[in-house]
Amino acid sequence: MRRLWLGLFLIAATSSVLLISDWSQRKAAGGDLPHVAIFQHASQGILDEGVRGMIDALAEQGFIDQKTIRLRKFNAENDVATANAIAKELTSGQFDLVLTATTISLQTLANANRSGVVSHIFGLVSDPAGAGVGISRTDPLDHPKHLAGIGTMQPVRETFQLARRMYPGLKTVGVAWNAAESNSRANVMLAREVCKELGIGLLEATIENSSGVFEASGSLISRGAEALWVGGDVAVIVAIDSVVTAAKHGRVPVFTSVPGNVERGAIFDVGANYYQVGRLTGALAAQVLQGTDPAAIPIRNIVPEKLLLNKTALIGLKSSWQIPEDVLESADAITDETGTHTRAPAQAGTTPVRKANLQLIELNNIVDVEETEQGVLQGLKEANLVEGRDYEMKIRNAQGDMATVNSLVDAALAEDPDMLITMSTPVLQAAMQRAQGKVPIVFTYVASAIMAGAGTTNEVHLPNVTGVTMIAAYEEMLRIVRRCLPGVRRVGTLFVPSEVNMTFNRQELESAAKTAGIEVVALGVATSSEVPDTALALIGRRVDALCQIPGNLTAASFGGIARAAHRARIPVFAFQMEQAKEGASVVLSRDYFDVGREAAAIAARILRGENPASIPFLSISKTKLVINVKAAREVGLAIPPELISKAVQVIRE
Amino acid sequence: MSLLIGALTIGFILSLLALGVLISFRIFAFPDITAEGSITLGAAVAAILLVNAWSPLAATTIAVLAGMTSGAATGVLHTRFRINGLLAGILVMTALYSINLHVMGRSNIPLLKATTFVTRAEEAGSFLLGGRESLNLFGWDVSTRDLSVLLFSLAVALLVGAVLYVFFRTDLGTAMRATGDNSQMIRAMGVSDGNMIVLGLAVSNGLVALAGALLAQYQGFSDVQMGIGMLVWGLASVIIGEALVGVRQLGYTVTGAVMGSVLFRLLVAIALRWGLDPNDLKLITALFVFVALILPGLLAKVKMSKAGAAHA
Repeated sequence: MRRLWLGLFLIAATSSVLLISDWSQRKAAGGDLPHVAIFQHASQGILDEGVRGMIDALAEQGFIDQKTIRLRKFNAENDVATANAIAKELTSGQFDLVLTATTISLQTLANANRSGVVSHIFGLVSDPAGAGVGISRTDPLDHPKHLAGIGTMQPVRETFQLARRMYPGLKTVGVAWNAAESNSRANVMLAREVCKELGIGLLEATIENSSGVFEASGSLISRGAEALWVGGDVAVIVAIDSVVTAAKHGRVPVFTSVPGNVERGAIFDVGANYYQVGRLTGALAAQVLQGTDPAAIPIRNIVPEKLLLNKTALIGLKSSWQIPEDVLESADAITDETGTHTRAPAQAGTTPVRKANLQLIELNNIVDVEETEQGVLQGLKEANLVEGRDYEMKIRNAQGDMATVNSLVDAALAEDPDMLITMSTPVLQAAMQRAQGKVPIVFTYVASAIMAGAGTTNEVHLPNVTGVTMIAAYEEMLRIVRRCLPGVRRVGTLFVPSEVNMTFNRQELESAAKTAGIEVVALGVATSSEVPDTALALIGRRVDALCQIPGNLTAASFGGIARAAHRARIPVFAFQMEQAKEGASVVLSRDYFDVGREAAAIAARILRGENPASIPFLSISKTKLVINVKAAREVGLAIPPELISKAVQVIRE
Repeated sequence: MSLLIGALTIGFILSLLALGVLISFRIFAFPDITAEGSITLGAAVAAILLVNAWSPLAATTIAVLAGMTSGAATGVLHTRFRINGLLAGILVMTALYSINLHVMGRSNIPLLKATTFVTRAEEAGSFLLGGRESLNLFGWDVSTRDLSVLLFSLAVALLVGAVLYVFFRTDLGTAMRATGDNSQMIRAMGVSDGNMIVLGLAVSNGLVALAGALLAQYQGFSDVQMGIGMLVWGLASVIIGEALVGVRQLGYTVTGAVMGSVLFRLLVAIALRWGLDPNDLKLITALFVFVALILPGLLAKVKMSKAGAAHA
């Protein structure tokens, strides 16, 4: 046994070194980290935005999940029974602080938490005093001592003022509302007051549920409403399409105090920016975590405004509504015939607040990969992401060794990355297997992600995986071959059966050639030393030209192929940039730099919160034409001048 | 932590390769490079059967049998046709390249959707832990999935090691070991040394194919190029193991090979974790192997000089 000690000792020592390198990932056991929960009532765009804001603000104050706090998210999915069960769990004593989004969550938790077991910070609530949880309407400091938060009354006054500016002759506005909602009641009360001030008549129709909205809206218009307004009323917002349809029939506009309705046909939304509300709530929660007593926090009404405009809704109205220039300029987003345009500063608000950790993993060092890598870096820059400020990137390369690929992916995952960017098929596969859906993967430098097992179609794929594929432009290339050699009947190529990309590319070339009426002779090689002989054998098969498909091995030994063809005076057409310098007459390359840029654009979208599952695989179609006139002349190939004029680069000497 | 677990898992899986190499290179003193082909063969056979919905046990067993066949082929080329051992291995390895392509039908088979030993181990792990996704281990969050796969590969390595130990102590096993040590003597005792070599290479390559089959299931794909360079690292593991235990007794060498393989993958993992310049990766690994090889000798010297000092 003594003889094994050295080995066991070394294994233990190396393991400890590895563990110490991973020390930062360690989570304290037990309850020494504060437990924080976020409780939202339903999955809805504005609520999700608010929750995102809470998490971002907490992170900015240094409260990061698994590092300084233990954060759990709860969602009642619109079910009151679930909400109550969650509230029970949250007040069972294991949480130190709970953040709630929506009035209902505030009410359920406050109800279960009457004894004040946990501190409670609420946000995304219109009228906290109206929620009946013991918050005073007059004194901001008069509230239960464990409970504080932010009220966000819909900017009803601002909404009506803007409506008046857009149509100064506005006299009557109609509103359908659900009297059972305390939020809605608060909104309408305020609207009555505002309308009185502005001299606008407010026509009201109460509804009981969403199905009554269409009828109610129609009745308002027939009673003479010149526009319809929607406030913070869940039942009506759910049925916003009915309101818009009814309004269209009556040729009157709809305007709202809740953002997100312009896309459905409202003329404008003046609402609260719920991401910002979430951030303010998160900042408040951070204060409490830092030791501020909730009892000392005044409850205020804070409304970070957001203005969304829809130019298309101006068309076909009875009366002449106009959007003043200054309003146009201050809008956060404008919808017109060409789609929705978000203003740049608003986009800056959605840049990731936390520095993202990106891991780029490559299989080997070849020119194409380096070019793709440059493209990725450039693409991130173009997406307004700055290295050091918005992201840190670590580049890893397996040096062509398959056994290392797994460990590389593990090493990347050990750094708790926000995203893996993979180049080449084996790296993508290893990443998919090791990440198990937990980390988004953006791939590039892959011919077919479907063959790699990432999905069944470009749209239906693993939820955490998306990226850019590129297949050489075979049809375009065969057209070029035909123009240069009108009598071409047979082209040849070498391929490496062990490179999955090459077998795929070979099939693609063959099917494109079939439609073009050209025969393809493909010979297999396994090592670079076989390349010159096989190239000679290929030429012996009486091919009119070589049309060399892209691949790692054939790229490395392309010189041998080109020399053999040159001696037999056969032109070579190729698909990888640098091969034009190595003796190919015509190269039609995918722009690898561009491929990298497109992958970076997808990566940026995911970093800004988009779900990879909804981003289809992108196939790059851009090509670059490079012509080597000297090589062409030497093999007696006449290249039409108009083709030369299309080339991005012409090599003459 | 996940990197440690990953490194240990690959270490245990590739320790099967090391054991295979141990049999051919050390016990039989036969420079068998069939292993580079048979590890891929194991992966290829297992992968194609798994995507056709065979059970992991059946697929892996057939992969092992395929590996044994390839080893036996090398043995037959050497003993019956009198082909130099190195060349016989080269021939079979080269042929296997094409065979592997034919077996898979293409160069790469993804196994993400197939039921493999790894998915089975995950199911068992999450069942034993009551469906928990992760476990707090000394403060690190460890996914039960990784942990159960690690335990599975550890169990396989221990089981195979134990079976080998018992096997090489039977009459047949002893005769096989004797063939490697002194083939003239064993012939004189009436044992066919040719048959022993064929059998030994079959066992060796069966283990290598098992490593390939498990590796493919672990990494989620099988690729026709995955065997390239593996033999060298297997051999390195064996030699590190020998340097560690210092004797050539059967039990120690088997344990040493497993330890060597694990240690080797740990060293690679450290090199990766420290984020060394990727271009230097191979240099660093070579350096690590060098240190691991000379360290036991240095330690012994230190001990000797201390003992000497005590006497004086």
